[in-house]
Amino acid sequence: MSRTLVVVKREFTESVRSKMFIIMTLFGPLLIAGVFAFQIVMFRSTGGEKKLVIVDATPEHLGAQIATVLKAAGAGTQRERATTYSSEMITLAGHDTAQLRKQIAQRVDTDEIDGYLWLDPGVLKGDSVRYDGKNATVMQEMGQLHAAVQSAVQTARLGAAGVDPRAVAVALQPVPFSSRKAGKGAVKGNAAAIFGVAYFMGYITLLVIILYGAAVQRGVLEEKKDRIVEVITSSIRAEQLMFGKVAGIGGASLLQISLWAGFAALALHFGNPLLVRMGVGTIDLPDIPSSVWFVFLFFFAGGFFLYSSLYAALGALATTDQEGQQLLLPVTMILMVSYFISFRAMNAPDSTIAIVASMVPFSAPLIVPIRAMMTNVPAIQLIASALLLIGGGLGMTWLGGKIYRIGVLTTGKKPTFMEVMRWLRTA
Amino acid sequence: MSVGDAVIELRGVEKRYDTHLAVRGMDLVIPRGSTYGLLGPNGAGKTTTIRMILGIIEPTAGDIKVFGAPLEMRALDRIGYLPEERGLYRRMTVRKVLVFLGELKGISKGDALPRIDSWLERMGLSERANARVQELSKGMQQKVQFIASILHNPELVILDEPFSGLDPINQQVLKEIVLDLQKAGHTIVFCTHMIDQAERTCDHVCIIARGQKVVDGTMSDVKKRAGGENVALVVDAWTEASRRVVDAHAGIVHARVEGTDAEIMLRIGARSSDLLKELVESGVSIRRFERVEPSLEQIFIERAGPLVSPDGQRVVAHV
Repeated sequence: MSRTLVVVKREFTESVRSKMFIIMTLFGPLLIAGVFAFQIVMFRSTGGEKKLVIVDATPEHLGAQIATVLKAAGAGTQRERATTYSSEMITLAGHDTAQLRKQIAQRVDTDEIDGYLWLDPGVLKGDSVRYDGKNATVMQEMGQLHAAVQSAVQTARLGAAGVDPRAVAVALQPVPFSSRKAGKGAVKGNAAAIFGVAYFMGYITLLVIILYGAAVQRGVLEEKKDRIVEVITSSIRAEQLMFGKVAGIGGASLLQISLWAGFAALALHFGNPLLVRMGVGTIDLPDIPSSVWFVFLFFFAGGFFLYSSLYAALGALATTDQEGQQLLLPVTMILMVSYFISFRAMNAPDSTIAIVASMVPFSAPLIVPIRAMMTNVPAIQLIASALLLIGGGLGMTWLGGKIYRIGVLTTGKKPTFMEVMRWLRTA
Repeated sequence: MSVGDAVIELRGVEKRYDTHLAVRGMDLVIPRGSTYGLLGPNGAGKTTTIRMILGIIEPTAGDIKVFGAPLEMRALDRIGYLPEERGLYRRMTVRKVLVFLGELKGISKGDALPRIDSWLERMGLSERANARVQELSKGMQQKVQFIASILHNPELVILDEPFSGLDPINQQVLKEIVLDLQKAGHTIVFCTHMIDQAERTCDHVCIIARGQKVVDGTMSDVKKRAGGENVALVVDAWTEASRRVVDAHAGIVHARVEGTDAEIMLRIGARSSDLLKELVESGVSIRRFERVEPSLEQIFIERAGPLVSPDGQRVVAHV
């Protein structure tokens, strides 16, 4: 067996036998799903009754119509945590505007009401409507309020144009809408599901790089602290040790992802009939061609190698766990920037920033699979991204190997930047 | 000895770290089948030299040949190495870590396991084979590491301070194994600053100081070339006058006085008879006055020690 394979085998075996691997394999999907669910719950309205004041200065008495729409919106919702609205109407007649605004604002301060909607006389002609309230940052509630104002104003405008209000009500009924992605070679299916899978691809790449990259760094640091590295490097080259470590731990991460994918397939196989029986409907996964899966796996593996080589070099530079943590910060920053760009790539996969980020080896592993999910990435761009990632990965392995070679034998104090530069010149 | 018999050959080897020259102009020939002592004080450059021989670090200049050729990865399978800084994977079991280190040296798990069991038994560690390394005492861990260095039956064994940290019983166990390796014709390199140990075990020696070789050759050659006369002196009791003689005699380079015994190294050209005459005149009662070969420790202190400056200023140490 090749010496590098011996290291790969040890790293893989030790990784998959660790308690952390077993726990994460079994409970990781639940944890990830939990994090997603938590985010959704946190962004949702807290529900309950919202007390509003509608200050109506419009000659058309739009406030009353808005109150009616809001009441209907709340009543029509079956959910347990639905938001309902009770509205108190105030007309401007006989009030000093500034004084009235101050009084109502005080009622918000004392929690008597949640907020107030101010309708100026010219709303129908295009004046803006303003809401001041404690819940102004709750997107779901502001959406409902905006929709109610929109509906009331549109109804009034059409009424003013001579359209029968009953016909308006029929015309303005919401239309059930769904979108399905189409086009030659692109992923087809439910647009929301495609978005979800693309987001998941980026998220899982980020998660695995951070989790397992840190494991590589920790492993290197442990070898330094346990002083075993000198014994090993008397049998194989430091670069082989580094490569074996990255490949072994990378293999463990791929196994874990495969197991998660298996769990997901089982969950869909047995879960969908259950959901149908419960009347919820099925989870409609998009039709993802194998070429997109290949792109995902290629860039995932390439990204893992690139970042893990970097993490290994950083592990070789550190002499204590604390130093190791400090050195992680710049890498985490690079990853987070790539993650934020991935949102842009989801909404505008052909934008300049998405294309440029596809060509940068550090961001390509997150961006390219997302673009492949969302659009038809030209073959030339895919090839260029892949070549640049391979080049970047090899360069990083070479650079990391040079740092690693000297760093793993260095104890005592953390080397300075200038010292590392000298290592690169002399190693 | 011809260079063709050399297991290791260094020519003009240097290692520079920035402005610090750790090893300079190192020429070294380690003959096949020898027990070679690489001696020097702490920081002399011994470990750096060993690391360059093993390819762990690259020399800044010079040529290194191992088994007659520039170092190849395959040659590393023929070398066993016990580094000064001991270390094992602490969470692995003894048997597993030995299988791993054996596989790194090219022996299969199937071949390694019976050898491991045999060595563990000889070292008295059979019952700890499935214990995690971190559960073992420091001495036990050192014995496990020693097994790792010889498990693949290497032609060349490099042992960096092999006895440090071991109790006398375990030191004896290791010495017996080293003796067996010697008898079996293995080349052994001892890297140590424990000179008396090296003198008893090695047939060849090289003393390194401040990154440079100061003397090398067979043990007898080194002693012969040490120069000067050496005297073993035993008195009944030191007198004030006799102490003054030892402290002030112009021909003495180095004297080690321990109780009523003294080992005295004389300057080249100085005569032991002059010293004897002065001692007799000082009135001290002499039980033994004998010209002897210098001990390796004397040579080491003279050539590598900080006690003697390069201009040969005299030193007298009362122990």
